[in-house]
Amino acid sequence: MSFLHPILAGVGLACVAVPILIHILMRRRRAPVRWGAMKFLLAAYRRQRRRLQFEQWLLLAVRCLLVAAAALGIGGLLWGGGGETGGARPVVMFLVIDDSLASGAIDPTTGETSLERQIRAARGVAAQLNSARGDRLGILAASGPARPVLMPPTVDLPGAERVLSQMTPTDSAVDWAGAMRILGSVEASDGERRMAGLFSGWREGSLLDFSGVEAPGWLERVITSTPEETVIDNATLAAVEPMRSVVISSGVLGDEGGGLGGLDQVRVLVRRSGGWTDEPGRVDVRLSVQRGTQRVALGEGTAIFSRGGIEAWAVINADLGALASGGGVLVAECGPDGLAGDDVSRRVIELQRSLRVGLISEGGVRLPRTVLEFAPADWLRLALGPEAASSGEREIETVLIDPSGVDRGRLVGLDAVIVAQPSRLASGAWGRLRAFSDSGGLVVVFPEAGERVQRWTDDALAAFGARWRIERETHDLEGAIMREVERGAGLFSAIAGELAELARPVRVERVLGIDAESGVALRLEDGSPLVAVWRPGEDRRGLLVLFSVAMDLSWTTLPTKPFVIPLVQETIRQGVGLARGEWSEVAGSRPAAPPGAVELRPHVGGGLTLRVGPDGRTEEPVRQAGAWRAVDGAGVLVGSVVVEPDRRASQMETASAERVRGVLGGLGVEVVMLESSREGVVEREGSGQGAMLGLMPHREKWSLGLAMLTAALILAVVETLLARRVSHATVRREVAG
Amino acid sequence: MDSRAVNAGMPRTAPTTDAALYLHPQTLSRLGSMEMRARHIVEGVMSGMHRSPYQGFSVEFAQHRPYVPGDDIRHLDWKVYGRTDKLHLKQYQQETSLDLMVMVDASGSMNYGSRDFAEASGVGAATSPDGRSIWTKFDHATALAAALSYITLSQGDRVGLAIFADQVREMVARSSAQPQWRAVVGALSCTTVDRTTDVGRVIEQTLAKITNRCLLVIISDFFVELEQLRAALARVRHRRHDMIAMQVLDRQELAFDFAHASPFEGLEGESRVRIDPRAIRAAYQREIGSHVAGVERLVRSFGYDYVRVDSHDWLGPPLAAYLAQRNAQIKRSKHG
Repeated sequence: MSFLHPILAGVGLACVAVPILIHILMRRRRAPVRWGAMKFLLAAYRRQRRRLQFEQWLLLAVRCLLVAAAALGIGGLLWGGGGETGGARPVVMFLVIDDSLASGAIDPTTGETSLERQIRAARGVAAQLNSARGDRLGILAASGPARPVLMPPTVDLPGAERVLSQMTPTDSAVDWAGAMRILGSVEASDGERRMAGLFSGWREGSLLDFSGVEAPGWLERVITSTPEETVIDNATLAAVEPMRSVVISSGVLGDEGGGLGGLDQVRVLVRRSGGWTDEPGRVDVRLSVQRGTQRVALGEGTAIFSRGGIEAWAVINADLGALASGGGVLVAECGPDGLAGDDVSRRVIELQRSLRVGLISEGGVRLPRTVLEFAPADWLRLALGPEAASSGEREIETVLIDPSGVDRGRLVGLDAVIVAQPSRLASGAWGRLRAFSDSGGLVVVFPEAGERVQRWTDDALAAFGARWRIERETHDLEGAIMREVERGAGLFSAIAGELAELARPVRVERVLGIDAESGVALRLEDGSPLVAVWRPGEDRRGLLVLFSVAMDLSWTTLPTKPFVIPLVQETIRQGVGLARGEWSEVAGSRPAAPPGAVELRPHVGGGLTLRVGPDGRTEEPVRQAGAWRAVDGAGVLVGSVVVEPDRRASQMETASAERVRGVLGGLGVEVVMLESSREGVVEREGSGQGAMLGLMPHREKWSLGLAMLTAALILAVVETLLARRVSHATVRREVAG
Repeated sequence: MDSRAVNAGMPRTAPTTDAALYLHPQTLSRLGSMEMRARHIVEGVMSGMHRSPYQGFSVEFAQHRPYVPGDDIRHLDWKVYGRTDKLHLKQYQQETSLDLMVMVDASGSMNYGSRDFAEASGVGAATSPDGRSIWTKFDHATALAAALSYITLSQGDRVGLAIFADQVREMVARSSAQPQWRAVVGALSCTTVDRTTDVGRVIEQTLAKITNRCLLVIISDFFVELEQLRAALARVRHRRHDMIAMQVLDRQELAFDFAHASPFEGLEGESRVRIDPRAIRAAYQREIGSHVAGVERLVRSFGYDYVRVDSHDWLGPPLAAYLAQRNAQIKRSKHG
C-alpha cells in the first residue's frame, strides 16, 4: 500500500518511534538500587532473562504496531472523510468519457449500457476527490469530435457528478486524439497533480485511430477502466443502396415509369459482429420512406448470413415510382440487438416526374428524312426519348441549346447537359458548364463528329480540372468492340449483367484517345476508354462524363444498335443521381447542405435544428444520426440531408486488457487500470508506486480506516494484558517463607 | 517502599552514643539509664539463674568415663582403678557461668536496609551519627548483639564478640566484667561493613580462639552457600559447642515490591543489572525463600536453634519470647 499523503505517513512512522524513545528515556532516568540479596536477584534474573527479553520485545512490538495501526486508521479516515490531508497537493482529474456509438452497447445480462457502467466507474473515481483540498474535476466527451463537457475543471464536485450522469450515447466514433488535444490546450499550473481517467468499454469500436495519440506532457497518470468482457451480438445496417438516388416517379402505384420493370430494387448491406459470427444467421430489414413527418412503408427483406460470414445483403423490391415527386429519405431498419444506434440506415432520394436534359448542338429542331442524314444530336434525342412514339409523356425532356448560347439562364432547371458539338462552344461556356456541374448537374461530352482535330479538349480539361490526357486528333480502329465494364463509377451498374451481350454487335472505327488512370466506365477491346467519368467538385457533387466516340456512323455503329438506348438512358438517369451527390454524412462531421439551404430541420419530431454556415456546411458538428430537411431563407424545401452512425464504432468484439494496455501505452504516461463493479471502482493493476494515490472508493477507504482502528483497539487490549502480565502487576504480594 | 543501603566501608563513631541508638525500643524515652533500658528489653527472661548445660568438674558427681590420652590425670578416679585396674575419669554436674560468643556478620549485604533510622532508633534522631537515614541489617544485628551481651553480662556470665565478613575482622575476648558490654558495643560501632562472607573460614578462626565449650550466637543474613554453611556448622558441632543462628533480614528483601524498573547494584561487588522488579518478583521470591528455608532446615538439622529476625520489627518482644522458650527447653531436657 502506498501513501497518498507522505507527510501523514511520516507522522505515522514518527509515532511508531515514540514507544522506542520512551523505552530509551525510561532506561536512563532511574538511580541504581544498592541491593543486599543480589545473588538471589541475579539467579532469578538469569533464569528469567530469555523470557523477560522475549516479553519485552513482544510488548515493544505490540506498542509499535498499536501506534502504527492507529496512525493508519486515522489516516484512512481522513482520506475517506475528506478531512485535512496534511498539505498534499490538490488533484485535477479530467474524466474523458467514451460516449460514442459503442457506448450504447447493452449488456444482455444486466440490461445496462456501456456508458452507464463507465459513468458509474467515473463517479467512483470522482468520489475520491476532496474539494476541501482543492481537488477539481473536468469532464470531456470523447465521441467525435471530442468536446469539453465541463471545462475548466471545477471544485463543485457534486455538480460535476450531476453533469456526468446526464451524458448519453452519440452515434459518432470515439475521438481520443481530439480529447487529448483538448487536454493539451489546458493550462497546467504547478502544485497540482493532474490525472486523466479514460472510461470506455474498450471494444474494438472504441480502439479506433489510437496510433499517434499522445497525452499532454503535464499529465502524471492515466486511469482507465477494464475492457468489457460480455459478448454482445450486433447487426449493423452498413448501407442502403437504391438503384438510383434520383427516381422518376409517376405517383401511380404499379406504374412502370421507373424505367426498368416497375419496382425498384433497394439493397441493404448488413454487417454483423460480436459472438454470433461463427454460426449462420439472418437479419430482417424493413424499408420505408420518410417525407417530413410522414413515414411510408415500402417493404421488407432478409439478409442471410452463411457460417462465418460477416456481411450480407437484404434485397427489397420497392415501388418507388408510385411515390409522389419531391424529396425524401429511405429508411432501413432492423430488429433490436446489442447496439441500437446502428440499427437504422438512411439514404436521401429524389423523386421527379421527369429529367430535363439540355442538348448542346446546332441545327435546331428538325427530323432527318434518312439515317444517313442523322446528326449526333438526332441520335441522342432518339436515345433519350424512345417512348415518344407511343406515349406523349416523356420521362426525359430534351432541351436543345445552341452552342453559342450556353449561359447560366439556359442551364437553370436542367438536370443534365449533353455537349454533342464541343468545338462549337463559345468562349467561357466550359466555365459555365463547370458551374452547372458544381451545382449538382451532369455534363456529358461527345467528341466533335466532323473534325479530326479536337480543339476543345484543353478548354474542357482546364475548366473541369480533369486529370486526363486527351489526344488532339482522332485515330481509326479496325472494328474494335467494347470489352469490359468498370463498375467503380457505378454509372452502368444497373445494366452490368447485360452489358456484354448488348455491346457485342457494336463496332468502333474511330476514336478520340483518352488517357485516364481511373474513372473509366467502359473500355474498348484494346483497353482504351470508351466512357470516362470525372467528379470535378470537392464535395462529391457534379459529374463529367466523356465519351471517346462521337454519336456518328462514321465513328461507330452504336447509334444504330439497341445498345445505344440503355447506354444513353443509364448515363443520364444514373449520372444525374451521381451528380446530385448523396447528401449523407457520418455522425461527428459537419454535414454539407444542398445549395441555397440556410437551415436543416429534422424530418421528425423536435430535434435539433442546424444552421448552415457560409461554407455550405452546418456550423456545428452533428453527433446524432438522423434525417434533416434543408430549407432556404424563405423556408422552402431544397433537399434532405442524412447523418449516418459512424459504423466504425459498431464493432462489438471485445479487446483484452493486454491489448488495451498496449494501446494506451502509446500515450507515454503511466497507466493504471481499474476494475469497475457495482460497489465502485477498485484498483486492478498498478505500476510504479502502486499508485491510484488513494483513489479508492469511499466505502473501501472507510472500511480500511475502521479496520485499522479496530486493529489498533485490539492491539491496545493485547498491550494492556501483556503489559500486566509482563509487569506482574496482578501478582499478589507474597512474602517468601 | 523505598529501600536504601548505606555506603559500605563507612567507619562508625563513638560507642557511647551508638549504644543508646541501638538498644532503645519505642519506649526508650520513658526509661532511664542504659542498663535499665536493656533490662527492660529482656524483662521476664532473667527470672533466675540458669542451670548450665555443660558438665564441669567442681560441683557434684555425674558419671564416669574411660580415660583417653590427654585427659587431665587429676580427675582420675583412683578407687575405680584400684578395683578394676582400669582408668576412668570422674565427671560432675556443675552450675557454671555461660560463655557466650556473639559473632556478627559485617559483610556488605548487611549494609542494606529500608527502614527509616528515625523510626527504628526510637530516640528521635533522624540520622545516625555518621549521617545515615536508614536502619540497616547491621544496625539491627548490632542491637541484637548488644541486647544478648547485656543479658549475659547481667547473669554474670562471660561474653565475647567476633565481627566477621570474609574473615574475622575484630574480636573481643570473653569476659564477664561490666565494661565488657561497652567494649562489645564499641567494637560493633567502629566496624566497617563491606566485603563478602566466608562463614567456613570465620568459624575456623573463631573456634581456634575458643578452648572451652561456648554458646555461639551467629547474627547474620546468611547470604552464603548452604554447603559452606553446612561445613561450618559441622565444625561447630564437632567441637561440641552449642549454637544459635539468628538470621537478620530486611522486610523488603522478602517482599521485593519495587514499582519501577531500575538498575540494581550488589553490595558485595556483584555486577549491576537493570531489572523490572514486577517482572522478576515471583522468581526472586522463590530464590530467596528457598534459601532462607534451607538455612533454617540446615541449622535445625544440627540440633541448633534458628531465629529469624526482621529488621523492621522491635527487638524486645521476639527476643524475650525466644529466650523464654529456650530456657524452658533446657529445663525439660535436664529433668526429663
